[in-house]
Amino acid sequence: MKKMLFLFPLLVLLSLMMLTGCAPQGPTTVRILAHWDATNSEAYKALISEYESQNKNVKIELQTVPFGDLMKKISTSELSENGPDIYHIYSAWLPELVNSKAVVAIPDDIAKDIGQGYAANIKESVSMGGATYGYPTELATYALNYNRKLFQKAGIAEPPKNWQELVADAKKLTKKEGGRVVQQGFGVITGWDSGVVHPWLSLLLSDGGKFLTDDNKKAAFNSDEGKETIALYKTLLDSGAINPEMSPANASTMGGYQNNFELGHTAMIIMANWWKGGLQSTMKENFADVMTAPIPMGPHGDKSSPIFYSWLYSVSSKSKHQAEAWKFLKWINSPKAAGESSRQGTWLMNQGIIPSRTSDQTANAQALSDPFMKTYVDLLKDATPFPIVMGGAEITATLQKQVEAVLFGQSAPNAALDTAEQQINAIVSK
Amino acid sequence: MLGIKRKTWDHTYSRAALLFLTPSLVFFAVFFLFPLLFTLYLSFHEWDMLSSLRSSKWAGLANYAVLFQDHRFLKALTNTFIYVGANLLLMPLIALVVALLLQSVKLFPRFWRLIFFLPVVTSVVAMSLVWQYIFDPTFGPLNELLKLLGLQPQGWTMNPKQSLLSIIIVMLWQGTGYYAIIYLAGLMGVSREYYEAAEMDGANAWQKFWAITFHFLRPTTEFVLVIVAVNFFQVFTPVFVITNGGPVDSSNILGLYIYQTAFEFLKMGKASVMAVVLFVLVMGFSFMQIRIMRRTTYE
Repeated sequence: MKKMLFLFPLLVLLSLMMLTGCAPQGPTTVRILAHWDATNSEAYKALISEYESQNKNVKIELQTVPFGDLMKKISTSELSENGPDIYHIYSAWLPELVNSKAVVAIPDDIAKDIGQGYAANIKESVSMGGATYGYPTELATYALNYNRKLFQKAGIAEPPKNWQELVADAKKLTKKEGGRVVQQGFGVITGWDSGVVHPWLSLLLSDGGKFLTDDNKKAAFNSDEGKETIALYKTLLDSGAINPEMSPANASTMGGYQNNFELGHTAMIIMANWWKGGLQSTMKENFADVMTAPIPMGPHGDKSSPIFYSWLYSVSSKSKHQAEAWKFLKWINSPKAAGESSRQGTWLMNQGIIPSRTSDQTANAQALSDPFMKTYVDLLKDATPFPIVMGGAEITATLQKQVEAVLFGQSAPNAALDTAEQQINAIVSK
Repeated sequence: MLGIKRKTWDHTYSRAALLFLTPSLVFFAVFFLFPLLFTLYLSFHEWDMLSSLRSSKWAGLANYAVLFQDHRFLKALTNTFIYVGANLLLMPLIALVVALLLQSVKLFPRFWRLIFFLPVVTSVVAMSLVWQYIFDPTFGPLNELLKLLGLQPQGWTMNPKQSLLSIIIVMLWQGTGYYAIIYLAGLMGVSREYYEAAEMDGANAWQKFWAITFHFLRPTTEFVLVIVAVNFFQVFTPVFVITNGGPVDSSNILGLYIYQTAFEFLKMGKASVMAVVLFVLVMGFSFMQIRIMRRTTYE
């Protein structure tokens, strides 16, 4: 009897455990981590709802953090066994993520879709060591943005095509009051690594220069072209055409540099296409004065060749729902119907971002031909991808510090390039 | 017999004490001791946080050797000393003046205390964003004020020579209320009788302040100096929000550089070495301060 008394609760417990195990499971939850703002996240959630209504067994959860916190969030998520399944990442982070096996290579069916749906150079920008690591999403490249009204007031008919014109126009567009620059001819960005480095590299590449050697093993910017590019900044700075006080960017990539352009205190700036949405919403009717032009060519350059970079959806190696994650990604990146844009493509276009899928670019050809976007789209064919190399973030920050040292009068131009070369070689040699 | 009873009582008493202390000890071990030891462990390893800890590589003293060749670290260390030094010098002084004013004000005394204490309870991020705007060289109200007064506008956070000063101004504004309240509590503990006796002896205001107020506030000053050093060595948020260490690292401090090295460059080993250096600095500085203050107090 005593034995029965002991066995009874045990049997009840076992039965409960079995019943729990047999109970119908809830929907699978797939988590996405991205850096989108509230408006774009809301629009994305509408797409999620559409997917969930078609796939009752799946729930998609969107987690967003500011751009500045995205890599930190990914690294801390990797410490957990219950982190996001899908990361939306900047392609320059791929080496670190692949090296640490944090993300997985695409499965065969996705490889077939990406192979057919994307241009080779775009597929290459999300690949490493022969393997592709996700769906390419947005493309960003750089162009000269200028304020047409300020140009007209200064009596300048066309945007500069080369550096000689750039310097002359920037000087004409600069206004001083009481010894202080209140309108700068040419704006730069400081305090945000890519914001400093990408425009500078776009000028370097448009002068025929290179950032790293072809094998990405050494710095290549400390060349005649590099010296000309940093000298260009120094010339503009000394003439007052660049006012570094108007250049700050905060950790979320917004800040004074943007405010100064929006308010007509900056006549020209080299910037990526993705800021179109921000400019439109802040400038309203004044956005009509924002024009774009190719990057002015340097004395050694024969074409405008900006830097470009891409973003991609990748799947975490720790995800327990990898198949569901890829299924969702294929759905959102595939054309909605024959000849139509994908949901992802339409969502990107609404933000003024160039989609990377060829069929999306075709389906949105009309929108991509608006005066602002057309320059960027045209520039893509000669654009150079930012190198996919280990330590990409540290390399960018190192060059940023030296370019800023020149802008803030802390270092002579050639000495800054020497220091940057030495430090970057030390990073890439590891 | 009495000895046995005493031993039993002591034993029971110790067990009870241990039992009551256990939650605090567990909390301390999990949230302070473990991170401290883990940081020390990481400082001898190479780890990127993305891969598993088991794949981290033993680096020996390499992370320590690399650190002292890193110009950015040396700049951040120098800035940290300037920043802490300026606050150690100015914070107790300003806080004491404010406390004396708060003690003497008779009209709405609680209102004035609230006004000075408000920055302490305000969100640091929100406060930093407001200061970022105040200091903006192009749009900021501070430069507009300078122009109204016929003075030359300044670069503030966008001038490498003024960016650290801008951060120090913010921290003095934010911290004064807290330290003034500590001083105010100290002032309330000084008996009126000393002042009355001094007045009878013909002491002037300065003599009363120096011989009575300052003398009796010595333990409070000791406490304020230690807390200022501990808190300000570890500053992060206002620097991150207002200048992000720029321009050209002119306002970068150790706390922020640790964060950048760990989470932007994914070098946990090097970041941990810096954290160890920071820990040693805070401990050493506080210990030295207490020793000096105690010695001067007893002398």
